[in-house]
Amino acid sequence: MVPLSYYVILSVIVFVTGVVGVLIRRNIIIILLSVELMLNATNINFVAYSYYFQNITGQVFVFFALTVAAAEVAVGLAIIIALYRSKSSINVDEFQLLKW
Amino acid sequence: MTFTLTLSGADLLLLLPEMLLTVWLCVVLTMDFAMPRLPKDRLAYLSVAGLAGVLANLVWFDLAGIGGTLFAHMFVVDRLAVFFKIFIVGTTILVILASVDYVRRFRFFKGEYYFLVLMSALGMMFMASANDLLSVFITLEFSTFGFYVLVAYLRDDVASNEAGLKFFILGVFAAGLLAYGISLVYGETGKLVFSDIASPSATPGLVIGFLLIFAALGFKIGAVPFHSWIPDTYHGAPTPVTAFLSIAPKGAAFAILIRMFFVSLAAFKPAWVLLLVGASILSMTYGNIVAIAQRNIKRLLAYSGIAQIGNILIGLAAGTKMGGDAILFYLLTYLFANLGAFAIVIAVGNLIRSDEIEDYNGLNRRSPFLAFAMLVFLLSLAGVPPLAGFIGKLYIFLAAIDEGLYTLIAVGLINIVISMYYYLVVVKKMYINEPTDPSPLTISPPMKVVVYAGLAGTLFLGIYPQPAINWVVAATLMFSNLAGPAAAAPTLVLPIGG
Amino acid sequence: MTGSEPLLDYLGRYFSIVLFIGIALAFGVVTLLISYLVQPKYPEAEKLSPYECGSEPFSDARMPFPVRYYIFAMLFVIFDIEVIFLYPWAVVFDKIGLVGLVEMLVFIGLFLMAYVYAWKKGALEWD
Repeated sequence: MVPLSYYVILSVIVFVTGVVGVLIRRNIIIILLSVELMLNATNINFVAYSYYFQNITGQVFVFFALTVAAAEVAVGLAIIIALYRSKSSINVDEFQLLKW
Repeated sequence: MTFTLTLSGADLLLLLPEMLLTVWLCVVLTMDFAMPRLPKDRLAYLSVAGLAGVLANLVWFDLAGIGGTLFAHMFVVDRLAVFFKIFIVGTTILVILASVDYVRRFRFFKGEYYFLVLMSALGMMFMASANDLLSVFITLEFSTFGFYVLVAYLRDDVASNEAGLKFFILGVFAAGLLAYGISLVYGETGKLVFSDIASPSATPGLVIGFLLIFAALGFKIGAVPFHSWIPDTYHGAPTPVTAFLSIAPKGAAFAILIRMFFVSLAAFKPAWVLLLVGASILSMTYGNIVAIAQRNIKRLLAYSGIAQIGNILIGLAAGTKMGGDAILFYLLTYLFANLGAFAIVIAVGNLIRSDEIEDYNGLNRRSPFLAFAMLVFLLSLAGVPPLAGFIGKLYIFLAAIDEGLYTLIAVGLINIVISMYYYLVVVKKMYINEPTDPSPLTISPPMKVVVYAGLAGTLFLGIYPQPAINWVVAATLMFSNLAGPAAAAPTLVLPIGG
Repeated sequence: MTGSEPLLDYLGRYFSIVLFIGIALAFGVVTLLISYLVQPKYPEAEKLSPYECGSEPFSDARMPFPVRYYIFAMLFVIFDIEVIFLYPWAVVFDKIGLVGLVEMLVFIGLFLMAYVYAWKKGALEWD
């Protein structure tokens, strides 16, 4: 059996990848994908802990995290399309009208 | 595994305000698409009518002391939750009234605006009742989704789109931090309900988990160092949305913060007091100093809002029942003063299409009523007696004195002086400078209602605060076992009023 | 699953999957390799140009798609994710009785309203 710590280490790696992606990448789509990585790291954690505790709560959280992620993508794409129409770009550095 | 799923009539009663609002927002959306030629102002008044019903229901809950928990303690109705729900619904009513004129400027999707405002309000009502970390995550996201769209609502305005994008990126980033923090706390305790995760030992997972959750909630309330979205989002968003965003989500987030710190983390108070003191000092100082340099009234109010959040965090740092009372009371004063100030900004913005402070020159000549109301709201935000903001600050400082947080109080007092400066600059422009265009300004009836409500609240809470104090003291009774000398005294008599 | 199981035995149970992946990869690589080795090679400009249904290629294939696709994709994602809640409900459907049924009807009712809204607002029209 794979020990619990393996899952936790995997999830930490995925989470840190996501955080670094949000902080250093400039393309909004990549930033959105990085946030999805962060949420997926959460899901790995929850499923692993849920199995470890033999407790269903963690799996319930995963269902909701997936739903929230999908809704985030829908809203995010809508905002990105609105911006693309006026700016023809999806690079965060282009948006300097308001001071960042 | 066995479980039962039963919902009795008494359980459904606890959900009644939320169910009413859900039905009502469906009605508003249906009327919007089923009757395309219905004037959209009607939808605003329809929404207000529905919210008034919800408000009446909540007042009944409060008076009758109805409470309980649902869904394995995920959803709780107690005095604290009812207080925050009344706070949120009241804010929403005033914001919708203040939006009527502004929404006429939209070219598309006027009806959906009211639907989204109601939906965010519903999400925040659930936030006020969130009693475990799963419901914290869902309700926080639920309320924020509405705001993402509302902030970017002016589709042809690049500033609004940009504001929406910045709010969205930082919002989903905070959601990721929140979810991961919750997963770590779950990994340490195997539980998610606030009262169950009161663990006696601080393991690394628990510490990092709660820090991540605090970061996400700090983003929500806009405390330094999680404030970077606030000025741009406030500046670019439609002004009524800015007003809504500056008050209601903060109240809802404080409902969660109070439950988290006072229930789950009560055992670790010495550790988190330092964290909160730091966040409070940084927020007050940063907000007030940067506000001085602002030329746009929305940005000024954004930075002043960061500073006000710093003030409220003093109450949280006190960590006593009295600190909780003071947070609730301060939020009430902040609601009336800040919403009132934003109502003036909306009214003036609708008439002269500008939010620059320069354009407030000679406002007294153009509309003495607007200038006087703005004066009252700004002085209340600054904390001048006998207005509400003074009592709010006094209450917070008294709670901090009981806990011996003298550094925090000293920084708070210095900050009051700094904030006085930039509020008075606006007042000077309104009263002393000459207007460039002396034509008189008139405001519409719904806007007048909002301004009068703000004035009434600000003056009433300042001159006769006792009823409101009794209310907030009753709302936090469940925390009376928290350590601290204030817990022994159930009522507070303040030197002014009463 | 037992905790004392040796790692090799544990991995051994996945051997057939590894074998399957290996065969699948080999099939693809070998087919391409054989065709590359035995094909006659007489390259010319016309043959090297991309084939686009017989007509001349006229622009870069990486062009922005009409925004309509995004709206459909968004609607699809939202209605697709709804199923995530139907699965657990279906598993315990017979144990949670009438309350469960009514709750699911309320849930689907709200989705239906969103669908009718999208329909009435013309989000489902192609033009």
